[in-house]
Amino acid sequence: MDPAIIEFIGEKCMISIIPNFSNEPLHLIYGSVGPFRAGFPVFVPLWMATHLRKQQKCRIVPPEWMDMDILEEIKEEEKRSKFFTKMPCEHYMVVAQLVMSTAPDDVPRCEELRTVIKDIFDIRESKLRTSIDAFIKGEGTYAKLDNLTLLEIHSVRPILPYSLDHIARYQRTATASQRDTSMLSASMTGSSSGPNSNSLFSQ
Amino acid sequence: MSDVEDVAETQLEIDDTEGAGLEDDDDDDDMEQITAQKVLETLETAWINEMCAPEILPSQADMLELMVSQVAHMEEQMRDLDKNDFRAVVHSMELERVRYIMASYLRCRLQKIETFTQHILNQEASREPDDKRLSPEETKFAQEFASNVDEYFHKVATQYMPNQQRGEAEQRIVTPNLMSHVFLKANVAVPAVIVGVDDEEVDMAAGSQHIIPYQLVADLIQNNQAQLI
Repeated sequence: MDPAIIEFIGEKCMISIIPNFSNEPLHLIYGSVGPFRAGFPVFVPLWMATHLRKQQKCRIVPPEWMDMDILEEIKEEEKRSKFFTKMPCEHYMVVAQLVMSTAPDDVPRCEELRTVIKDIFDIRESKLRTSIDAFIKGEGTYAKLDNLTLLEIHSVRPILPYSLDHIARYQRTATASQRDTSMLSASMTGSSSGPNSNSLFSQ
Repeated sequence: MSDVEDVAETQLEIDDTEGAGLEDDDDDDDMEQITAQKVLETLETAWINEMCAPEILPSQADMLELMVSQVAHMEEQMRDLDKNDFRAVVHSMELERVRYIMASYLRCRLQKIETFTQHILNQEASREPDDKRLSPEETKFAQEFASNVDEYFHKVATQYMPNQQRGEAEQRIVTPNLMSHVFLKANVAVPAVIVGVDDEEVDMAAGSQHIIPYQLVADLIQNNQAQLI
């Protein structure tokens, strides 16, 4: 998947805007939005919000979690916890990036927020790398990835599934050659194929 | 003013016979009702699943057809609107997004058909008419693609080769690696999923995410109990 597709999917998130025009509700295929009343906040999909903001037709209300105190707390929590903590939004990086690039003026302390969000992302990324390292060395085929966001999953997509596929392929070859050459089998089990690889990959 | 407004709310109707196998197993004899929103959600899930899955998944041709007619219908309604009208702009932006999803979905399937042509055709031949995975158009494409490739190879290369190298069509079949790892999110709680060696089992909570070899969860995806991410 392309990063652009991740952004495309993330643009479905709802965000609050304050329009400076009035209009009847719009019935989009994805659901209805509005009515728009000048000065009153209304929830719209992010793609619509960025479009309207570029046209100077609204102000974007930053989501609740885009706040220094909350984010600092999340950052500390993320540092403390061994596991991934739950993020306030499924697509927090996409939302933050889009909101802050289209409407930096609508976000108070924009630059600081940018830094802290990037910090959180970095902490999570490095945690992710460490756990992937442990996971691959542990010769697992299954892992739970709760609380990871789509973008983070995507960032390891080029490496994690492929390396696992390769390992699985080697193991299959190993079991196959084991069957062929019963002579070698004794030494092979010890070295190349893991202790519990056989039943699954030989099918 | 209200001409565009109600477009998206129109209820779409599909034939029960064609719609068989969709989520709603309503016992309505004649028609099954489904909203445009539901169709879009189904398509979106199908699109993401298709992008992530190693093999080709059942075609959503019915849903696509509904969506195409919905999009055409909305464009029809929008024709009278001023191009710079706020509503026209937003509606056409959404239509662009919908069209992108549909195009990307179809493109992704074509790519798989081109890569695994022979394998997919063989599988289709062994399936019952009711659980064919390709739409009639895709089947036609796959067959023509296969015969064109064969003919081309024959013309430029294999006819000049010694006999024993020709009859190896069977060995040239490219098959998807069904054991490749995928990322998965459970839609509902699924108890006791076998997740690997030694029949180890795990209960998946609703909304939880996992990385797992595709083949072990292929049926969950088809039953819509889980989706790929």
